[in-house]
Amino acid sequence: MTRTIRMTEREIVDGCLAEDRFAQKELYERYKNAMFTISYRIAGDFGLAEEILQDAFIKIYRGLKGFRFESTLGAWIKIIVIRTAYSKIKKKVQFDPLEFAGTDSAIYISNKLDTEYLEKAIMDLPKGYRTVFWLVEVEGYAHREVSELLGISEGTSKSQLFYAKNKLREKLAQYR
Amino acid sequence: MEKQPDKKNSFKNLPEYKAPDRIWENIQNELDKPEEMVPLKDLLSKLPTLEAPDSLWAQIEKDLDGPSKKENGLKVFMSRPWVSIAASLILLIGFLAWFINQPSASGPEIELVQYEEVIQEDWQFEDEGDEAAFALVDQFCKEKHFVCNQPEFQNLKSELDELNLACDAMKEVIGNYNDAPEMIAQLTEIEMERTEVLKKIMAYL
Repeated sequence: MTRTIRMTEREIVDGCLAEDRFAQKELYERYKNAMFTISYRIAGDFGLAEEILQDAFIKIYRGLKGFRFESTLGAWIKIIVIRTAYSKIKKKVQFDPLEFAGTDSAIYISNKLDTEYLEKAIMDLPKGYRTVFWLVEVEGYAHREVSELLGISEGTSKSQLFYAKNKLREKLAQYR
Repeated sequence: MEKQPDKKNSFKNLPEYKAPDRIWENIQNELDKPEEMVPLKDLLSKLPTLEAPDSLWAQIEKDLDGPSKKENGLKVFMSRPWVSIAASLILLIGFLAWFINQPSASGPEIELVQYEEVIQEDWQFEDEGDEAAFALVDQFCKEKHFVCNQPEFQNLKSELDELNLACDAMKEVIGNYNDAPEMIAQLTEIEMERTEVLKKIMAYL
């Protein structure tokens, strides 16, 4: 018999704490795709993204005892996934000491641009630029939060984004 | 012999459906749509979500069923020579104290007092002291000491194991950064809870 009742966040957490495999699976099912996407976007490699997701979920189950419902479960999980992903690529990321030169202006682009092409252009950015770009522009983190997540200064976060956008402008020039 | 129907020709005779005209109209409309400049953010929100491979859950389940990181960590910890030597010495003293305290033995009680003092000194309730204490409690119970079979002790021990797991997980989550105040506060809370449990366990030893 399969259980089909939709569990609340609290029930899922309690179930996971009681090591109920059904609750653990439910938690995984709810967040797996979104978290896999973030993992891939930070890692830039599908194999590594799988490894990240696996490690992150083990950390999540083991660390749930420390979850105090002070944020949403999704936000808490996302932080663990981002930290796990970043720890895997950290050695390969170089945050060059760049000057934040200029104002952070929005990019306008043709609505005809194919999203696959756009994603590829972002994925081709240097790892440091790309990580900050995803976290700020797509995940909506503030520079202060990015600095906490990645262990870099706010200034570095801002400059990485600035240069990421410049590079992206160049790559997408034909669509502007 | 009866001739088999020609399947190839039968398929050819299947009816062909007519594509509705409105499809071309829709395509045309899309092609004629004026190119608009939109903020990049609008396009970013349309990026597709990837699908996690189905095989991943099986791997996670396997990890969940396997030995915990705490156990692995303990193995590594115990593999350090000085810890093993210290633990062995303390166990030896413990065993001697227990042996002397047997009804048939006539050893002075002062020996037992010395045993307690040695442990207290080593088990400062600081981070490193805690680690040594955890290792010692585990080692103590591996030797099947009678105290470890008492239900109250077992309850405390499983509570301690759970808190250790939670601590390890939180430490991993926090990683090398010291700038996640919420999480650090949670970790401190768990560590304090753990120290309290450890103190209760110590009372049994």
